[in-house]
Amino acid sequence: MTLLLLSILTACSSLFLDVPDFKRPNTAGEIISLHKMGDDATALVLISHGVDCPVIQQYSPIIKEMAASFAPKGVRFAFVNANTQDDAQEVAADLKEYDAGIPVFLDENQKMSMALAYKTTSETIVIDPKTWTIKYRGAIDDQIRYAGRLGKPRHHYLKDALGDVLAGVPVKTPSSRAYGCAISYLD
Amino acid sequence: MPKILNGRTLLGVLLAVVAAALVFSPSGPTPTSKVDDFRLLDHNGRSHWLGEHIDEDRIIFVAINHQCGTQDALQAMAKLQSDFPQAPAFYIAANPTQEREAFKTIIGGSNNKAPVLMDTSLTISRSLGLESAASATSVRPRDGLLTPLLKGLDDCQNPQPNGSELDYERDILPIIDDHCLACHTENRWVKIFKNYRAVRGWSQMIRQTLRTQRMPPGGYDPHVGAVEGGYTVKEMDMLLQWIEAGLPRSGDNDPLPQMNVDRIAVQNNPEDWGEPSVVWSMTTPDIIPAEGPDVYQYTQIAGPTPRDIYVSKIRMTANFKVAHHINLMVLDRPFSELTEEQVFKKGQDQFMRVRKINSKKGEMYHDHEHDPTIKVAHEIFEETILMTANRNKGLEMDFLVGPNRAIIIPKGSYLLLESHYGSSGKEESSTSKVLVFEHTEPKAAQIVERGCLYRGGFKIPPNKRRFTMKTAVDIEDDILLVRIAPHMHARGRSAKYIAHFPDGTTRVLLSIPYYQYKYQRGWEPKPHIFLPKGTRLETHVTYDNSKYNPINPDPTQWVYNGSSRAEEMHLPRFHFIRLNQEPK
Ligand code: HEC
Repeated sequence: MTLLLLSILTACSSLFLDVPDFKRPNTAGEIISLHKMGDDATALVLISHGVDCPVIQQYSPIIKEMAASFAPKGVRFAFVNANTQDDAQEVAADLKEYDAGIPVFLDENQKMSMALAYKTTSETIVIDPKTWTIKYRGAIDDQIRYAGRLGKPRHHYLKDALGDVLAGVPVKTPSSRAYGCAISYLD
Repeated sequence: MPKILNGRTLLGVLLAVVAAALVFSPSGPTPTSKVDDFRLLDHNGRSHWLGEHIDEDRIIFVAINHQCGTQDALQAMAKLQSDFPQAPAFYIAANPTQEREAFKTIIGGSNNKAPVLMDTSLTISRSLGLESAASATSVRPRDGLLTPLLKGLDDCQNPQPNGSELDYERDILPIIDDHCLACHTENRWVKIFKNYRAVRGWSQMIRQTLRTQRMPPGGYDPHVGAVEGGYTVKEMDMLLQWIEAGLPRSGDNDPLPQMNVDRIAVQNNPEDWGEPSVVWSMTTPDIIPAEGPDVYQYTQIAGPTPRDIYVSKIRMTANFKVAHHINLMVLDRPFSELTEEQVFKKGQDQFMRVRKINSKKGEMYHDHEHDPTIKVAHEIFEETILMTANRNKGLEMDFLVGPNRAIIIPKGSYLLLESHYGSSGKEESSTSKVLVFEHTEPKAAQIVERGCLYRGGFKIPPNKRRFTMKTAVDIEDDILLVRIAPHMHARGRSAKYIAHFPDGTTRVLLSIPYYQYKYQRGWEPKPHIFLPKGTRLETHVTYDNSKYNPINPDPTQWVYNGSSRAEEMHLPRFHFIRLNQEPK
């Protein structure tokens, strides 16, 4: 049932009229709010996170660099962690390794991730906080695959989507396939 | 139901639609069902991957059973092949015992040829919605969307997977211990197997790796022959069936954390390895900057060796956060006597040059034209590389020559470390160390020799989906083959090792239908294989230089033979024992 729901949600995710607010603890135990984060942002980038996933680990420096380069333009990055096997300390330790200063929503009951229809870690969503609509869903780029990586990416999906959102034009490639570690939704 | 129903979203509407769909069509694939990615071997041992067909509109799957409804399945295939002449088509057989021979006969004698996928776990057919012989479905590979085509025979049902009868502690933990834990303890890679909770949280990812046959890495075909430490089809199927059944367990007892502790203890102090008698170490660490291109560093860490060293085990360490691999090479002269040009000249082949200097034997087969037909190399060449440690290889950071066997590093040798580093996002340093454990009774030891069947000088056209190549060697002594290690780069796709014996018979020794560059492993045939004098040993390899190879750096370019990661290589390595050795 969960899986069926998920696949339908994924198929229809572009139909979201608006993304509702989500409030979740961060690794310090403070409650953070998605809508509040959007108050002063030109775009929000929400990345599904999981401790120890080789794909997201390889993306960490790339995410760090992108978050820094888009910060002056008002783009804010956040992680969402739905892994039932990751506890707060492990998530904190994992994020500290790359010191990117990116907040994380600890989605312990997995409902935020399920509603956002994340299927795998590293899956990235770009939200326009003016309308709370999802403008892009998919991979950060096409560099990192399961059993290897390309020397450099051929498609910079996230960078290009952010460029389009900031320019106020429709996103040319609104979706792509994300590689990462499949999220296990447990009841 | 989640709180978000209150949000002003379409979600509520969607949920209602889903609920309605569930009420009105309680079972069977609806047009909205999807199938997740999978990879299966066919009745000829070839590997097929759904994800590779990404550009096709549809793929046809027809369920086939060799005992009932076989003709119906063949007819169903005939009909669908004429209805959808463009679509790739496959039979799929839900059968734990494969029956490759039976299907070879059935398909061989039929006009409706297509590969028969061996769904030994019985779970892939089910996920396609195929429950009985001659049922058929179409898959849109881009997103896995299923469209049922034919219903199939009521009286020839597929067998059911029995995952719900499997128990975590009794049935599953032994498989995890034997085939996963060596690489997945807490001090190695991806802590999937810390405890039951972790396994559960990782279960969808484990399922995915099993369905696509990426784990355990190595992609060898157990049907061809057993290897030391190898898994069986049944073991991997049980794991997958258990996950599909919701990870059943009979109590709260969880021995997995203790199994991790025990494993790590063995890794830190492998059995009775004792103290190494020789330790070679870098004197200054290599510094790997936070960012930058991959680099190869060369460090001579010893030489000349004062005596013959009879190696029984080796352990190599490095900072594997940044070290892709380190190779320990045995040279017969100091590294400084190899000129810059010899070693580094771009576009040439590192391994070959070093070995050419080192090798005292025979002529290397080396053609400069692309010629995919077979050529004979006169000798298995002496290997320069003694050992490779690779962060993706798991236990092979430790190298065991085997009970009562030894490899000789001759007196007067120089030891060279080749370290391949890639940046990790943080500055790191790495100080490699080599610990050598010598054989206690070298006189009594069987001497293991190392050789490789190299082929150079080839080039692969752009966008070429299947590029095949063969090499061969005529064995000139009675030997016992104890290890085979394929080596290709990112385009490497499959490898097969075949012996043509002097009595006219032929045997496939090892088949790697799904070669993975990232997890290169060596395999020890079980039992070891006797190759009498006069045997021809052949390698058949294929490369995929198309865009359908997900790790292909650039499908639009010609690929030349060379040692860098962007180039291609064919360097299968063998360990063998000469049976009529002169006593030392
Ligand atoms: C020879 C070593 C080795 C063995 C044996 C092994 N793995 Fe792995 N596994 C790895 C490595 C290395 C990675 C990390 C991949 C990376 O860095 O991209 C990995 C990653 C994974 C992942 C995470 C997803 C991914 O692909 O990155 C899963 C799940 C997994 N393995 C499952 C298993 C299971 C199940 C088994 C046993 C049936 C197993 N592995 C046996 C080496 C191994």
